[in-house]
Amino acid sequence: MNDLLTAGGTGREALLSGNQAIARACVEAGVSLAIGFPGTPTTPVVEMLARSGAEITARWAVNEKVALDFAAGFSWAGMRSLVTLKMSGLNVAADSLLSVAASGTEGGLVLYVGDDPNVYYGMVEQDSRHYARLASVPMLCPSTPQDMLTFTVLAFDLSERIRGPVFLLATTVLANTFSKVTLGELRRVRRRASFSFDIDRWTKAGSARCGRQHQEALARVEEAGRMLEEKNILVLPPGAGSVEKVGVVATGVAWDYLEEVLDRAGLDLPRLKVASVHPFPRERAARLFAQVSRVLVLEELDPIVEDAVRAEATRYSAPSTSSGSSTGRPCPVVIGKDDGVVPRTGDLSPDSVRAALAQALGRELPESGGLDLAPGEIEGGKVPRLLTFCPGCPHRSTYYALIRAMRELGRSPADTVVAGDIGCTILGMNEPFNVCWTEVSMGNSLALAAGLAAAGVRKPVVAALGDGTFFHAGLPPLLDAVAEGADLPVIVLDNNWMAMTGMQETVGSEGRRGARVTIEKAARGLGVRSVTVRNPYLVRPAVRAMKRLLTAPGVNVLVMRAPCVAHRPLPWIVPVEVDQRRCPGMEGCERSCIEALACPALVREGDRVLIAAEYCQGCGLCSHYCPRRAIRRRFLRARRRER
Amino acid sequence: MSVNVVAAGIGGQGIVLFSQVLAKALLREHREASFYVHAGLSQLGGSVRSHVRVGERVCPKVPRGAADLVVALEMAEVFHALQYLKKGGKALVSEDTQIPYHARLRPRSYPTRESIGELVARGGGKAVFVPAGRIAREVGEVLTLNMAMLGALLADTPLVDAESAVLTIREESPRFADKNVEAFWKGYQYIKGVDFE
Repeated sequence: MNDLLTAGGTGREALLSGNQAIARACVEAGVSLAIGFPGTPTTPVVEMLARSGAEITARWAVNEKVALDFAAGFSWAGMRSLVTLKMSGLNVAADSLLSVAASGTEGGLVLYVGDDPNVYYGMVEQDSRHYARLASVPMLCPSTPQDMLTFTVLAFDLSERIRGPVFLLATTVLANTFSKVTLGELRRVRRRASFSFDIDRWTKAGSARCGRQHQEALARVEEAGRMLEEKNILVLPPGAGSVEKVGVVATGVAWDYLEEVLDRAGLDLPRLKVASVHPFPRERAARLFAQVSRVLVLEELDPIVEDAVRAEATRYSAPSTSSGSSTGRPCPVVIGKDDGVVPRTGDLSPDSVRAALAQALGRELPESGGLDLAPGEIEGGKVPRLLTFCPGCPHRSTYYALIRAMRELGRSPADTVVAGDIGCTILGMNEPFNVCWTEVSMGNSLALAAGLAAAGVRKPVVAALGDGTFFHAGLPPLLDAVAEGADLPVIVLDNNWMAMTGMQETVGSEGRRGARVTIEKAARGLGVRSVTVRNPYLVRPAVRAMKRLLTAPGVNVLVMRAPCVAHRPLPWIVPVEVDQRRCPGMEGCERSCIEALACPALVREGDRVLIAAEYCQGCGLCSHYCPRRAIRRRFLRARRRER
Repeated sequence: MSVNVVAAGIGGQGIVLFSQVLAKALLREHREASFYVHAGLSQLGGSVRSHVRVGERVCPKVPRGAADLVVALEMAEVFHALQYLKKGGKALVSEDTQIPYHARLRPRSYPTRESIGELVARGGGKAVFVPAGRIAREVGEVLTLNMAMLGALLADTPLVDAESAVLTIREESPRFADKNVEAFWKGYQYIKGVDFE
């Protein structure tokens, strides 16, 4: 892969994913910095660049706002920089985004945003295209991995031409699609960083200055429109428009679905691919309107392009404001989300696009011939897969100890509010733990818990969050709680990495290159007096620490520290095994280990419980749990793990 | 020739490598191929799907009922792929089972090999079962299950020359290339050696 990122060879073809194409494009465009915060689906870009050996600073920032601010420093000094973030991350960076966009930039600054229609990875289903208009930043929406490469290079050139940031937006499907991409030439952009005093551009004090910056930002978008108009592909098949009188406007991956559906139906309709969602390609849309009387708009999530098409259609047919005379042009009918033809939530597919097109045409379009089964017969066979912790996960032990401590204090997860947070730690919400009550946004758990308690909720309130989340957005609310003298028990589940997004380092990671700031150091620095560190695998001391945490007044932080086993399996595994003479079996046990712990390594064979050696990490929680003492470590036959 | 394959499995079974080897082996023979991996929260043992498209089309998703073949790396996951299978198409199903939490508490909620075979046949398709988990354990690495299924797929439908696939496996394997190749051939021979009619 590294070779594909950094080797020359214009015109060479390679099988690349959307994300890989962006990484390659950064090398082609001579980018100096790629920075962001891990967030699916955009995560791989920075990681690939960091490993590529290219002369690019590629790293993770502590959060998305810091990433954008740092990248703005590169840009204002004349260097090219890329910021990668998922949709929720863009919200974190939004404050700086609007300000940087108003000031404008010097070196190219491109923000690669990953939206997740149908939220395959969780979080709020969000259409980040709204930010383009909000921040007065042009936005490119590619449809294929080839587009991802071409548009990334284009976005850097555009950014430097208009002297403002540019958005590149992809969805989960596009980021994870692999197809053939033709590579471009590697450009060496050698620059010396420089920055000059210009308070009219780089500051925001004074209404005259801010008003001017706003005008300039709008002018940049308009200039971008002139440059981008031709990137929006208008297909006008000869004669075809006159037959159906139906045209289609599509953007992003919906364009690809449209092509598939037209191909299968043997149709060739007048159609416009919107590559620049902001500013909208008005001139091309008008040329499409001249051919058709009805326009179907295909896009995922909100009707952003649809509203632009509708506005343009009105303008197209309205009498001119100067002369007042009618254009004599009929206003095309716009079909889309407003009338429920195109779904407003979730992601599209060739099937939903076929259904929408059939409605717009007013006739059936042939469907592929699937199995002769009722949809329920296939749906009914799906086996639900509970999202739970991996075998040996330290978080399972932490939540187990927390519940144990609650019970010893005469409480239960049903009467103790645990405000959860983003990441693997939230899986404590699921069976069999049912311990986390809330999940809102990065770092929310601390202030939400403090707020619930201060509001007078008559239940004990605890905050639980991971190490990555703690450093990302946990410090200000912790400081606030200390300064307010709140009673706030905090559990930080420290597995040494941001595990859910694929093991990125945090500032607290052991063995990181830069200075290491541990959670306890940060918490003490913020004024937390009681900070305790425990190993979640040592259940009894962990339960004692939890009990103290749940009963102590003031702000208390308990760090439960053990590295993620998915990344660093324990080097020596002491296997555990079930003594079948003692184990009463699933039916005979009051609450079986399988039911109570949901460990994937505990498997059932008939009524017997067995431990699958290929999955077991030897954490020993089941042997601690077993009420019959039927699960034991095999100390004498310790084996070294092979992989 | 345009062929669509939808593969289903769970996180950690190597569906990306499965798709990547197939697509890159096709490119090696100067044929067009693309694929889309629908991962979700796959690190946590969730369902994963991949749409592999042989031919010029780059549209990421296979339309419902348009897959010539579906491959399930885990037995029950075949239900996540069947909506894509066309009538007369074939489902290659691994006999490997990864029984999730609720089905471990209520074993009858997990489908049987017979019920899957009967359902696919009633719908006008054909299910072929492959002992891919057993093959992978014989090879000595449970993670080679994906390559055993790839071998079975190519033995059943020669989308691409088996030798090209083997060369691609060697190039693309991050670990244990030899074991991957061994599992591939065992899966291949399993299908070649069994008369299903």
